[in-house]
Amino acid sequence: MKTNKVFFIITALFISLSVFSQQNPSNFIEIDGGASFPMGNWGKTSTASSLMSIQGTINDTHGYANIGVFGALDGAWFFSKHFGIGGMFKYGTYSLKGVDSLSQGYEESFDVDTTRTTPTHYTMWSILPGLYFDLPLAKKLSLTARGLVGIAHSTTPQIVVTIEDGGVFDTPIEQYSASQASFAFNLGAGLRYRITNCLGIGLRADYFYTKPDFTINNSSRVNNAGREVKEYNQPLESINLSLGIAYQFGGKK
Amino acid sequence: MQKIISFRKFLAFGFFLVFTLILARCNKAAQTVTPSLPGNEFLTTVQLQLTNSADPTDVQLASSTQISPYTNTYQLDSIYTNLAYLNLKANSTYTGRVIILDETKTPFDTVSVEILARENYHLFFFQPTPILASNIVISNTSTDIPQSDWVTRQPSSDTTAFGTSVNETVAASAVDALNLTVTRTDMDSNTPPLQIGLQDNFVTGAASSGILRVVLRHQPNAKNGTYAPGSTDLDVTYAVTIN
Repeated sequence: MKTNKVFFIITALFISLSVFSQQNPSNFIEIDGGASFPMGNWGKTSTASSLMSIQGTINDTHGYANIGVFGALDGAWFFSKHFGIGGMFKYGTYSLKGVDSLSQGYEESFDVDTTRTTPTHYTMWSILPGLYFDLPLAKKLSLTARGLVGIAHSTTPQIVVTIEDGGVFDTPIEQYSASQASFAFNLGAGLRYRITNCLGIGLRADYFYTKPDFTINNSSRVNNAGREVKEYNQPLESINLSLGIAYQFGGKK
Repeated sequence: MQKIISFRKFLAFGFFLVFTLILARCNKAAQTVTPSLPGNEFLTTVQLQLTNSADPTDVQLASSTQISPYTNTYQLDSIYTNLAYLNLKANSTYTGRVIILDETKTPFDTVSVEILARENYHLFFFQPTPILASNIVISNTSTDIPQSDWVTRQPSSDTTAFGTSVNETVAASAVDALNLTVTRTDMDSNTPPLQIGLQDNFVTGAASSGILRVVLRHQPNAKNGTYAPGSTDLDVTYAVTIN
């Protein structure tokens, strides 16, 4: 009974909204930019005390990914009143947070006077074709949802740790950058407002997921102590908020 | 035509925005410097405890300390050597251990326990001198200190117990040499395991005398069995008499 009610409400909503869409929605190409919020272990940091290891090395599942930025180019061609096919190319970078803890963990593990930790960024690009759904909400405003599936190519940061004790600098510890391509998907929805016949602006939120299995090389790990990550196979998932400008072709005016 | 130009402008403007955003983040990697943590211990006293394997009642305890026997306080620039000597029997084997104390704390802290916990980057060296040049062995299992790191230029007033100079020397002949050989017997958990030196064997030969220099090297992520990497945590000298 409850299921029927939900079905009728959704159907009624579609019928009422479809008065705005007597023809196919405009095809579009959109350029987006925004912020990406890493989720799960990828976006977490470890405490210095949990990274301290004086007899044997320890793995670390946390990714230290900070809020990132990304740019994307996407577009869709609508073959019906609501549905279209399209795709997105996205490139983003994520700096590292919690580097203080990382650095202090090495310092306590090796019992040294000073550590200097220099990380680079995560980078990620993805190509994701998929299905678009457009639902007009007002004359110039529409809701666009999308489900995209494709590949992502991710690169982990290089982390260089220089340790100094008693005025002596020993060989730096290096966790090398690693790259991996993996299956990825993106689910999201957004609002697009038509400001002229051919230009629109979009605001959207997406959930992105990929799970590469990185094999990470380390150099100069002479002694068994401190954090040493040899592989990283945590999901790289994020919530992406973006603002875009769209060029719209044909379709409704 | 008008539409094509507009589309190009749109693309150019869009790409400019996106790449400006990304390039703004692609600055040089930031460096985080973590300075020394407070609360590091002092290594105020270094003891050698030797037990004769053939006679467990023959126990020698040599102690070099920076705790003044007069004021019972830590003296940064002084070493009190009145107990820093070993009287060993000739042609004997002693099992030895190094005990390091922080006597600025009450009760005192046994730092050698922490050294043992951090065994993977600590290594002891024991250099008996005078020594024949032919007996100096430099390898990743030897306790000898490379001659380039010997103490050789200390003033004659810088002595250990019984007024023996702390300067290390090469023996001109076997008669002049201190007949003492030290080997480490404990291993760390590195891969492959390396020696530590908290537990040792001291083997004496014929009657002789000289000095024994003990150095603890701190070799974070650099320990490979040799003397060179890292820095020195402690460096003390004992007088040795073999009868």
